[in-house]
Formats: sequence, C-alpha cells, structure tokens
Amino acid sequence: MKNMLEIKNLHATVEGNQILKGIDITIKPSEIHAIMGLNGSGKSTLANVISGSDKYDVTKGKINYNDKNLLNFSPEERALQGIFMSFQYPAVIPGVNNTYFLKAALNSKRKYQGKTELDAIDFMTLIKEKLKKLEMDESYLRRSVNAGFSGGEKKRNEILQMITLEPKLAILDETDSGLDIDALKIIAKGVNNYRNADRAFLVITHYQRLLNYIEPDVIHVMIDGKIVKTGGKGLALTLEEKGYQWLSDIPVTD
Amino acid sequence: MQYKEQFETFLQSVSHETQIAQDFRKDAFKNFLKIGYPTKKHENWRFTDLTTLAKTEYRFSNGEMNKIDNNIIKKHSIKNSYRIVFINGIFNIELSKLDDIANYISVKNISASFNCLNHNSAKNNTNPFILLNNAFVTGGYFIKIDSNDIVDKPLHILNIIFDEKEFVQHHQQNRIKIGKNSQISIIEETVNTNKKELFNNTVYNIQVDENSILSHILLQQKQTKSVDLNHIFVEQQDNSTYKTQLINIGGDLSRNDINVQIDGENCSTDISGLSLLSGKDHIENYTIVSHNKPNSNSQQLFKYILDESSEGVFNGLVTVQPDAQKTDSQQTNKNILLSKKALMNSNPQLEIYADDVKCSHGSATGELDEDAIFYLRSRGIDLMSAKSLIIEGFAKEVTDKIKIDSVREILNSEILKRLADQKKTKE
Repeated sequence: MKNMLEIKNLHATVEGNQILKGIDITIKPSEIHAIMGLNGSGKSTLANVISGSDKYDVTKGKINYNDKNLLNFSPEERALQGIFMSFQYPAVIPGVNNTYFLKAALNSKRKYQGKTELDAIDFMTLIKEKLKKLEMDESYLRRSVNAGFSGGEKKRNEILQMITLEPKLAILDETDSGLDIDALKIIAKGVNNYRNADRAFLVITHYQRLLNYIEPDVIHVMIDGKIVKTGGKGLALTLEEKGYQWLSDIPVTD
Repeated sequence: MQYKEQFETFLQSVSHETQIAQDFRKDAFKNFLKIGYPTKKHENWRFTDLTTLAKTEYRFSNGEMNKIDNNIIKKHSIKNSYRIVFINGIFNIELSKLDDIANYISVKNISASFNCLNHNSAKNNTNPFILLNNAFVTGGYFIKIDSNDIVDKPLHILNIIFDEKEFVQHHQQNRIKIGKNSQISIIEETVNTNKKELFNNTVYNIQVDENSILSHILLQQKQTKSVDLNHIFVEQQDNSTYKTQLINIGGDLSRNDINVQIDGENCSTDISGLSLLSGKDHIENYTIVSHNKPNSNSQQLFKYILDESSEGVFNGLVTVQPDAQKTDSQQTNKNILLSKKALMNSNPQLEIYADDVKCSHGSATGELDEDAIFYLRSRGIDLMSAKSLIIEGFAKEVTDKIKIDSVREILNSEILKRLADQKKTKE
C-alpha cells in the first residue's frame, strides 16, 4: 500500500528555539499511530507543523502527503486535502455561531471536492445526526465557537468537527487530557466507528489511558524533539510501567 | 469673527420668532464667540482635529424644505415599524407613517415650539458646539409619549439632510420625553444626501420618567464627507431603563457625547457602541454616566474595528455620587486594529464617592487573534473569510443586544456590507 504521510528528518523551530530535531514517521492509510512523550517533547509542535501553523519554521527535512510536498500548502489547502487536527487548546471565537462556522467549513470542503454546497436545512439534518453520535445537546449549535465551553465540551466539539469534515488524516493532539472516563469513551467510540481503510490517525497523548480505547498499530516515543523508540502497542504498557526515563540518558522532568 | 455675518443673515431668516427666542440665540452666539472652536489644548478635545471644520466656509441651514427622492425612503424603510421623516430638521407628515400612534405620540417641530429649547442641559453650557447649536438651531423634533403607553412597534426616525449645492452646517435639537410607565424603541438614522460637505451638529434632550423603558438606536453611516457631532443628555427617574446603541459605520469626523444622569433609584442604563473605521475615519465616543441615587446599574460596551489609517477615541467616565450606594457599574472598551497605521485612544475612568458599590472598567486593544485565524483555516476556511468571520463575531456582541429582529438584521447586513467592501478593496 502507498504511504499517506512521510515525514523525513523534520527539523522545526519556534521563535528561534529548535524543537523538532529530526523526525521520521511514515503512515499508511487505515493505520493508527500514536506518539507518546512528556510535556515539552515536541509532540504538539509536530501536530501544528503538519497542520501548517506559521508560528513554526521548518528548518530541515520534509513532509510528503499523498506524494505531494505538504509544506508548499497553506493551512486551509491542507485541510481541504484531508488533514485535520483536533487541537489541544481549541481557539475561542466569540460571536461566531457554531452552526455557521461548521457549515462554512463543510461547504468550503464540498466546494473543493466539486460537490454542491449544503443549504441550511440539509446541513441541520446532517449535523443533528452527528451530534447524536457524540451525545451532544442541540443547544450547542446556538453557542459561539468554544466560548464558555468546559474542557470536555471543547474536545467533543473537536471530534464533532472531525466526523463532520471527514478527513483522511486526523491528528488528535492530547484529545484525552481533561476528559473524564465517560467522555473519553464517547470520544474513543467516535474515533473507532470512524476508522476505515482510507483513513489514518495520528494520536498524540502522554498517557497510556487513551490507548486502551483507541488501539494503535504503531507507537512512537518522542523525547526532546526526536523519536527515540518505535514499536507495537505493547510499548505503551512498558512505558506505563517503567516511565520515560528508561528510554533516555537525558534527564527529563515532568 | 467667525460666522458673524452669517449669524446676522440667519437672524433675518428667523425674524418671525419671538423676542425671547431671538435673545436666546443672540446670547448663545455671544458666548460661542467668547469661547470659539476648541483646540487640541482642551483636554476634552485633544484627539479631535477641528482645523478643517473651522476653516471651511459653510452656509447655515435655515430649515428650508427640499423635495427629496422618494427612493431614499424606500431604501431605508424598516418593515413592521412606525416612521417619522424629517427633512432638514422639518417634520414631513406625508412621508411619515404614524398610523394609530399619532393619538398618543406627539411629534412637533422644535422651531414651532421654541420654549422646548429652554431646557436646563442646553442652557448654561460652555461647550462651544452646544452654544453654536443654540444660536443656529433650525429644526428637530419633540417626541412626547404620555403615561402608560406601550408602543407596540419600533419607531423609525429618518433624518434626511439634503442640499445640492453648498457646504452646509445643520444644527438640530431633538427632545424625547417618555412619560411614566411607558415604553418605546426608537431607531434613528441620519441620511445625508448632500453631495457637498456637511457639518451636522445635533443636541438631544432625553427624559425617561418613572417605570419607563426607552431603547434608542442611532445609526450613522458615512455617505459623503461630513462632520457629525451628537450631544446626548439623558435624565432617568426611578425604575427606568435607558438603553442605547451607537452604530457608526464610517465617519470622517464623528463624535458622540453622552451624558446620563441617573436621578432615580433602581434604574438600568445600557450604553453600547460599535464603530467601523477605515481610510482616515475618525470616530470618538465620550460618555459620562453619573449615578446620583442608590441601587442602579449601568453597563457600557464600546467596540471599535479600525482599518487603514483610521483613529478611534473612547473616553468614558462613570461617577458614583455619595448617595449612590449599591451601584453596580461596568464599562468595557474592546478594539481590533486591522492595520499597523490605525490608532486607538482609550480612557475609561471611574470616580467613586460611595463605599458600597460594585464597579469595574477595562479596555483592550489588539490585532486579530492569530490562534483563532489558524483554527478557522485548519478547518478549510480561507484566510480572508476567516478574518471576516472573526470580525463579524466581534461586532455581533453589540448588535446582539438589539432585541428587535428586523432592526438587528438591518444593522448586521449593513455591517457585513461594509466589511465585504473593505475586503474587496484589499483583494
């Protein structure tokens, strides 16, 4: 099978500080990859660089997505081509209604795909069905994007956007943090139901907990901007038992 | 001396007025001459550049009626509302639509009842623009609502200023008096169809009596080159609510001065403003809210969206007098700068002379939130649309306060139109 995402020797800086120091990851369609690591190891930076945030500068290496150089594309072009990131800290946008936002995003994608844009009625039918899947209340649609949302509501909102926009590559950046176990199960169910042969996931987390519910094919351990170990799902359990220390000579603090 | 000849000519055009009225004008003009136009040395005018205004040769409007294009009315009509049309400050009954409310709302031309002018807030004032207004006032309205009347539909006031040929100064005085236990929503729009420069200087005297509710929306849109000054004096009695929204869509030089005296207990005051500026627009809002009696609350929210080389000024003063215990007051000013050349001056102030009060004020000016832009783009929304979406959302916090759907929709669509125009010029 062809590779979907190829990250090669990726180096990136933020405000002059070297965060990513040579990352290599290859993801094929249908796979779930997990990246584990402590705070500050560069996991979120990687997610943001893939999504196209201009806060980061890629100084070396490359990212290919479906054989195209991803770094040539704007964030919106990447999104239209099927990349989606569930944010660790989703932005709050006062005054912008969720329905309006989601409809604009979905129609932008449909337009790009050459499909007809959905009118208000068709969109409402679609979104109500998605809300049900995540056990979300319809009142959510009338609220402003993430304004006044609890941590759990924000994460659910991210997953709602994911299952509405139907990306090819979904990056979940610490989607489990701040969630209670019930919310975690609902979100994991959303992700699992959503797996298919054409779709890949990159799940970023620092606990093994999420991986009990979303089973990865490959686990990468990231320390100080580098992947120090790659293995199967058993790696998560070892990490849970021994901590990150055993993988590195570098002293790490949480 | 400035305007001396013009004043002599003007007096002749109003020679039909009573001696008292004429003396009132002369007195005001004499005081104006003593003070003259303010300069930037005056604390209250330090951001306002009046040099062009002072240099321009204006003709003084003398309340003449002009025939207007009826399409103006059509273009500005609001469905499901009453309408009062003033042309150059003169009430036009044919174009108005009062239906059955004519029985309990009285609309008068100020010039026909000059004693309206002898109102305390207009007298003894040292503001040169109010003095100039008192000297040259030619029109305006007096809307009086009796006690126990709840007006079922919003009242749309359309002030049409019309002159084909010359630069005009137009001085108007409007008065609104809401009797006890009454309620009305007014949306007021000034439409300047002048091809030439206009200096529009309006004084409002507003009285909200016990248990009454007044909602007053002022919509100003820049049409041609103009200087727009509004001086709004408000007095509130017990249990009254005064709610106003000042929407400025552009303005070469626009300034709203609002002075609210809360003279009753359990009053509620809600003042908000939204200013959209571009080019070299300059918009100022000066507010004074004085809590004179206990147990009232006041809220202020002013938002500015500044593009290109525009300038905004917000100066808000809340005073809480010794008697005004249990006052609850908030004052907020938030601004978005869309260009490096745009400038915002913000000065929220509190003066508290009572000890048991809850007061807060704050001001924040910044660029568009980069994280929010990235968030929207990461969902496939292009950069320009992402920016407009955030700006619209920012503006909506003010328009969402308007509870009448038809009015809110008109304002939102005007704002969207303006933002779309700005977007187009950039593409």
